[in-house]
Amino acid sequence: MQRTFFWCVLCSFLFAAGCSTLVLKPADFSWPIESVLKVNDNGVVQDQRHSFSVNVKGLFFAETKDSTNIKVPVRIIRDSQGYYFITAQKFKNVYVFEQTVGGLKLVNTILVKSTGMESPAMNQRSPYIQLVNENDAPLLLTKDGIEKGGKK
Amino acid sequence: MKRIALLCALVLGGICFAQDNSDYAIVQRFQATTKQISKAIEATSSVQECASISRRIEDLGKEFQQHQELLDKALYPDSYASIINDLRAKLALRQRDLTTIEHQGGQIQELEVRIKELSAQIDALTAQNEKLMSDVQRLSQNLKKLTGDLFSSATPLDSLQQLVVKLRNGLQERDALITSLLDSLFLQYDKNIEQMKESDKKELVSKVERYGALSNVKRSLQDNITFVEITNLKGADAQEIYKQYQRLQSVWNSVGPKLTALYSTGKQQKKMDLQSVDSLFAQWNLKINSAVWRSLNTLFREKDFSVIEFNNGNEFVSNLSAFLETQIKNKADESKETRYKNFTKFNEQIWIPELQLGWFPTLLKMGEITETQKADLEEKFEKWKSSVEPASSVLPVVLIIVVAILLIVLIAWYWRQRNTPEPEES
Repeated sequence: MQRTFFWCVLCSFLFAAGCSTLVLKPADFSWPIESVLKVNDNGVVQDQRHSFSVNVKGLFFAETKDSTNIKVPVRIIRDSQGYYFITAQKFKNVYVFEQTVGGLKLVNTILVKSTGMESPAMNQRSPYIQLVNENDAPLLLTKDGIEKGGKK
Repeated sequence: MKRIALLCALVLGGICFAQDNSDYAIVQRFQATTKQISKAIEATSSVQECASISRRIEDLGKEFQQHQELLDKALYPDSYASIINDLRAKLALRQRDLTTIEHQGGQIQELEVRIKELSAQIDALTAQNEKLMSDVQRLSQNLKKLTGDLFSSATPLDSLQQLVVKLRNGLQERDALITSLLDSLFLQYDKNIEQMKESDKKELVSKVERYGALSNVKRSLQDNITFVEITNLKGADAQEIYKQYQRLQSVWNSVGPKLTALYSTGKQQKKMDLQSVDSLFAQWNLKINSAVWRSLNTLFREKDFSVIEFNNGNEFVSNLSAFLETQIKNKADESKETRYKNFTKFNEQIWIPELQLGWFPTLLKMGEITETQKADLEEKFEKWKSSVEPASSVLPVVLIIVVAILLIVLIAWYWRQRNTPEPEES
């Protein structure tokens, strides 16, 4: 029994060692300032500075239940952990995405103002993302929600 | 604890800055302001404006200094400092250009004044030359009636000679003024005409026409042609006129293409005028040539030396050479005295003052004769010189005999005086 247990432990250890992935740490993915990007007719935004493009029709549909009215520029910023924070004028929420194969996957939706934000803007305040909107008190956000300055 | 302190600082800071201080907005404002300043630098037209722009750059630097870190990151690969420095450098460059432009502006104004003065002087000289030209023509015609030869230089008509000298000086002075006028007109536009803006081209055309640049050149050429036609040249005169022709043509060679480019899309009349200037130059050159041969032929004829008439450099060399050969070989079988007299006359009246000092240098400069041809003529002349001797004269012999007789008489008288006994005293 003892012998069997020994062999089980040994095999488990070897299996775990063989499956472990290489992780490079620490890393900082933060953008110094947000990008304000116009949406084209196909619903795609393109960021020359960071060399990426993404279709945001789904985001507009999630926010407004209407993916045809996409004239408002979207504001995108990435925090130090690599999460994308996306919002736009009249949006009630800030959407948090992470990168996935060939797209962005929603991680969290942070409700900021139920009446919609008039002039939202996001600043990099590592490790947070600061959200400012007109004369409202600025909020500090993480991927999990509002850290300080408003309701979580 | 540290995390809480950071949070508090960020939230409080955020409240103070509120919406205006979105990082994105700060960067946008900085970029917009730098763009405005950059445009203002390009648009500025005076050194004084540069000073106010310099203050704007300093204010910009102060205003955004607190965001330097953000701007350095957001504007990468540029930076806050590099952008401010670029603006300063651009302003300094513009300031230097404006200083140069203002300096050139002053020079252009001076040139404008000079052009006006020159134009007025040319008009005055043209009127004066016109009168002189008609006087010379009138006197020359009178002379022709009297002597039968328009180009006889042996006439005692000093007034005509004086007028000719005056006219020649007047023409030269006016040519110099026209050259200065053309220089001054085109000095302001030293770049290629093709590269000039249409507005600059129009301005230049109007100046060229206002100050009659083209008409003055034509007038000058016509007067010079008439002068050569009606006057008899000496070697030095011909050289001077040929130099004048070369000077004016060199100016025209530089200005002519510019005028052609200027009128390339203009009136047909102007294009024809430009072509006529070229043909006037060719005509002037021909007239100078024919005047040279005419004057040289007249010179030999007036001094009674039978050099066969010639019309070009080669003919001149060969005919003069034939004349010298005749003199060397004494084909006319002249006496020693006559030959010596002829040689002396040729040497003193033609060879030294006219040919050596005047015509040979001129003909060489005009390319009508070569150095070798000149050397051949000189060699022949030397041969002629060595073939003649001064004629023996009786007078020195007579003088010697007279002196000898006088000496003998004196010696005899002295001898006699010495040998005569003195009378004794009683």
